[in-house]
Amino acid sequence: MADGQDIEFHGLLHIDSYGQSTEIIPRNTREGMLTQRNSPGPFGSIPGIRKGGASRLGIGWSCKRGHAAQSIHHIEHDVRALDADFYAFSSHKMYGPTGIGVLYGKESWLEKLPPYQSGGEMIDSVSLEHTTYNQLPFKFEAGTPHIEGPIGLSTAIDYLKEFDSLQLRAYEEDLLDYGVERLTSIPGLTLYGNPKKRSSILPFNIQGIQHYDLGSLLDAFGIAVRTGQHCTQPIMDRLGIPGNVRASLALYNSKADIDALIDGIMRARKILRK
Amino acid sequence: MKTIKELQQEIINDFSFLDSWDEKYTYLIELGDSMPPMDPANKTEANLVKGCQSSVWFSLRCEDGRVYLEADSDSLIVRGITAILTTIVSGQCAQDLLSMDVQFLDEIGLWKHLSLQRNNGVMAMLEHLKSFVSEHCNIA
Repeated sequence: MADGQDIEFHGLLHIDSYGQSTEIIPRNTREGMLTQRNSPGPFGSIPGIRKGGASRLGIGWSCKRGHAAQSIHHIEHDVRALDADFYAFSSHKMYGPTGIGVLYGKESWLEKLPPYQSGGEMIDSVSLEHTTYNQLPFKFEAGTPHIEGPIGLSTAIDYLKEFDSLQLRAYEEDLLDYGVERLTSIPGLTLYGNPKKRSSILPFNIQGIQHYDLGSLLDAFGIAVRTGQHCTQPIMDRLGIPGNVRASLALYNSKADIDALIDGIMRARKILRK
Repeated sequence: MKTIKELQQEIINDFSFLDSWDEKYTYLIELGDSMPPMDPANKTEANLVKGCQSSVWFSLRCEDGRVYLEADSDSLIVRGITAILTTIVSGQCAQDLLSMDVQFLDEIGLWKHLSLQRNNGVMAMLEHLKSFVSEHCNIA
């Protein structure tokens, strides 16, 4: 786990400090896995998930795990090129339904892992003396499955695959550049993070205005932003930021949306600076 | 002394004359501004309302079965909400506060647009108030 000591102000993790397994001392076996999380919540910088970086589990296995919930719909992912043992992402971050996500795992790992839930379909044979489990993937699919979730998720994936990923990336980067340009032209506005590569989000504060107040007013004006600490209190505490406002951009946004955000900020500022 | 219900109705009436969000929020912030500042000594950990996105302090006391509230927040909007709550709550019978709801929030419309996460903050204020009353006021 990052303890906040390895964060630079521009919002990039010193990924090299995690480089080799021996540098990470697991506090317990659950924390022994190295998770490379791309696009951390409060800054949207992309550190670049890369090969290597294995850490050691207490039981002597070496494991590489990727967490891509924040970036799954923004950048290309190739689990084979990364040689990831596990890779996880959430459906609702890629326009699919809530309550479902994907955990990719190498077959060799999945064979080793015992079932984590019991129920119908996951058993091969049961007797009082001995139980054997069904083969993959059934041993992890206990009981009545979440039927509508995968159907919705697969439709979302089909939808995303209709787009050319390079074009999509270029479109989003163009939008982000426009957003950065417009936001930074507002006097008294601090845009957090200044990474070489920014992923989809624009976190900011305006001098003299509380983030919650600005978020509430934007909300009333029909502009959806998130406010607060974005579930990353240790980083925010380390950087001395009590909270901020965060606008997120996606493929369905346009420059007109950014203009509306800027207009909304100006309108809110009039109310909050009386 | 007006009842909780009557005081809430007055607030609802005041807001009904305001048409735009800009006017409603401006008025709400003015209500917060008109509230006397809280003694910094009362901004203690125990007085911090837990479950709010912004910092909210409630300093409550019970006197002869009646409850008195002083409040503050680092958010102008939340300070406005707490000013309304202070008007409604202060001087009321402890017993009546236990069963109070905050219907004014729905009626003035400001809360319809707030996300669940933000709305939870108001519920947290109400819970804080009610648990203080249950624990510190002698209710027959």
